[in-house]
Amino acid sequence: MVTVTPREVEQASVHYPLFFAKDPTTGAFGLFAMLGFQPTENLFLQGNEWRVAHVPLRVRRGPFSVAFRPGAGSEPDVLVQIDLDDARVGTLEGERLFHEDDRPSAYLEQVTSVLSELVTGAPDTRAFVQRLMDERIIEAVSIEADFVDGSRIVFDELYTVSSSVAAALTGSALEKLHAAGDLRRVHAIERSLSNIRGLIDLRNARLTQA
Amino acid sequence: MGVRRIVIVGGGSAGWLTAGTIAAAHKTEQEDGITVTLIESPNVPTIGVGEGTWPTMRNTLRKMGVSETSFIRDCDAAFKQGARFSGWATGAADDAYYHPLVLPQGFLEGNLAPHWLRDKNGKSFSAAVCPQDSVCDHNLAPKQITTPEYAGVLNYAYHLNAGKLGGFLRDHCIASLGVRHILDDVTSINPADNGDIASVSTAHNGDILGDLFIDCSGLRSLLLGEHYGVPFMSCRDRLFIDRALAVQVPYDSEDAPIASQTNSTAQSAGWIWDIGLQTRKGVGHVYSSAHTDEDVATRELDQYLAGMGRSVSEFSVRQIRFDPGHRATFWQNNCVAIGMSAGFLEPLESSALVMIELSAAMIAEQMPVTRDAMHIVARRFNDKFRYRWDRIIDFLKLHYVLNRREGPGFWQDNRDPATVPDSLRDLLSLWRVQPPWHDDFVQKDEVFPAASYQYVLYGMGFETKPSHLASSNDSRSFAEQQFRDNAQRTRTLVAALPSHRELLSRIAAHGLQPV
Repeated sequence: MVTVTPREVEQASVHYPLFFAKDPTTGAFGLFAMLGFQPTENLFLQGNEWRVAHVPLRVRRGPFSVAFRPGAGSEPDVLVQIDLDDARVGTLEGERLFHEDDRPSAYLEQVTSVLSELVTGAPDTRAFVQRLMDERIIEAVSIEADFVDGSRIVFDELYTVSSSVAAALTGSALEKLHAAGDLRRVHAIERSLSNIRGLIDLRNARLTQA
Repeated sequence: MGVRRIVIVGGGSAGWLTAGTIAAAHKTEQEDGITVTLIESPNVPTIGVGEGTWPTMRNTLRKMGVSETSFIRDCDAAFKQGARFSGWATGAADDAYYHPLVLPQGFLEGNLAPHWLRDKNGKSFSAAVCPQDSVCDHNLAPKQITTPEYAGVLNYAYHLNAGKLGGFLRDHCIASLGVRHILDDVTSINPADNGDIASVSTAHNGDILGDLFIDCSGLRSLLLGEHYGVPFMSCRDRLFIDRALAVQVPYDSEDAPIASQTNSTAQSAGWIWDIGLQTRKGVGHVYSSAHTDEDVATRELDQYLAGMGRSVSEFSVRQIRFDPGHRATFWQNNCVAIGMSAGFLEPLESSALVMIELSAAMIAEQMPVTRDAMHIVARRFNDKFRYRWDRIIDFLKLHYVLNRREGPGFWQDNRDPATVPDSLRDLLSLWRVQPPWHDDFVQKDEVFPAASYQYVLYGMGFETKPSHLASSNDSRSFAEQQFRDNAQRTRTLVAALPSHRELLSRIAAHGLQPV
């Protein structure tokens, strides 16, 4: 599973089953796209190719991350950080990060914009989750998947949106969610559950090839 | 004339649990619906102790719309997974057993007691049939930060700050349940022609009229005891304890483990409770004034505190006197008593709060619609609660009657058959030849399930003779499977559950999710 931001939800819902799941340390809900049925399984990566058009921001981030350093003013300085030990980082070939004159490359600028979306993604997710929790829209769901090799995988710590609660919203609650753009996201998350079928098919295909 | 105006006299845990339970069950937008008014005196303090609950409290709070996170934060609450009794059987150094809150493995399908009796395998009964002993030995919590509110990995109840519970519930009842609060003294009780209470007069708020009056005035029993003169039936002939000395003890450090069970340690003429809240412990010595005096009791409390590196001289000691027992009836005319006004027993199995919950629930559920219907509900209430008080007395006595402690005095006197209720004596005779099982008890909603009797009986070293029952191969393989499953489950849980203190810190920081 990989985290997705609320802004990515509609695009991500086209290909990935989307879920809420609790952080094991704090119990807080996060928003995730399911990439496979086991912790390291990624059914969307075939060799070096990503199968579908929308690549989650968290994946596009690559070996980059954000660091905060105390700044001159009241706000911290925000820095782009690279993990030099990451296998995707090298000195001989690949994407340049800087031009000869030390200006950032178009690639680095793209990375920077991905990172800033991710930085706002965390508070955006918290606020989105809170708005849904206020209306009791988040509910537990259990997923059971059977595969061609006879195995069964069960997920019983996932959460989704309640269609019935969402459908019954009225008045100020409905307006509040509509104004925040949440209704479209709720429907997208609901629809995304049907992508599990496709994920099962992808896994079955891998199992039969092996 | 409909029964619409419910007037509760007295705040504290009894008043506010009752107000919340009834108001939540009968919430209405109708003008002619039920109204709940609670009158509490600004001058009468609450009893200030009463820190253990039963698992039923989770449902009681949930039905009132209380958030478990808010409750834990505001009432300094912790998780209780049972009680540990030290020194009750023989007084030897290794004499200790648990009465856990989880049912024995496979309890709905078969009785493991006869199989354990046949081959104990070096384990106590509770350790053989449930994981909670081990979980408590390791000071672990019954759930995780990711477990939803009110849900548990293991069944649990609470330890809480009794002084804070009333205020917490009061705020919730007023803000969310439409309960009307009057902070004033009751100056007189005004009868109607038929002997009912028509109204109570208050010092500054006039007369408060009502259809049903609930007496939550504590030991004073202002309405049921004083006004109606319903006699008090002492059970001092069976349960001797009638005094308490209570202190509040800080933890040694911020990392000190918090026990997830109530510790009850036998003393020369009573026992000491030791309850761990989040920020401090509640410790108290309950004893029998017929068998010892306050000086000795204080010295024993001091010795107990010395084990924690403390001395009783560091603390202000709350002294409580009570008569163990209950009123002959609880519902008289249009007045029903809930809480200490109905009765009080030593807190050996934390029965006080659950009796409040059960009383409030029955009234909420069976709320008489008319005054005519009320006397029928009243009679049923009296029968049911009389039965329940008797069963609680039996069960508490069970802890005492099986003791084999040396010497004359309190413990020996507790074995005297004259102090044992007939009902308990009969059950013990039965249990000498067959282990406790579901049908030993007649009501469908007994206060204590058969499992609780098993835990105390076999924890105290009672011997049920082995018999021809439960000896089939099927029965034995069922039992072996259950013992194995329990051992495995115990190992898994001890590895997976967080420490009790750790979980409480995380809840303080992040809260628990409602789902």
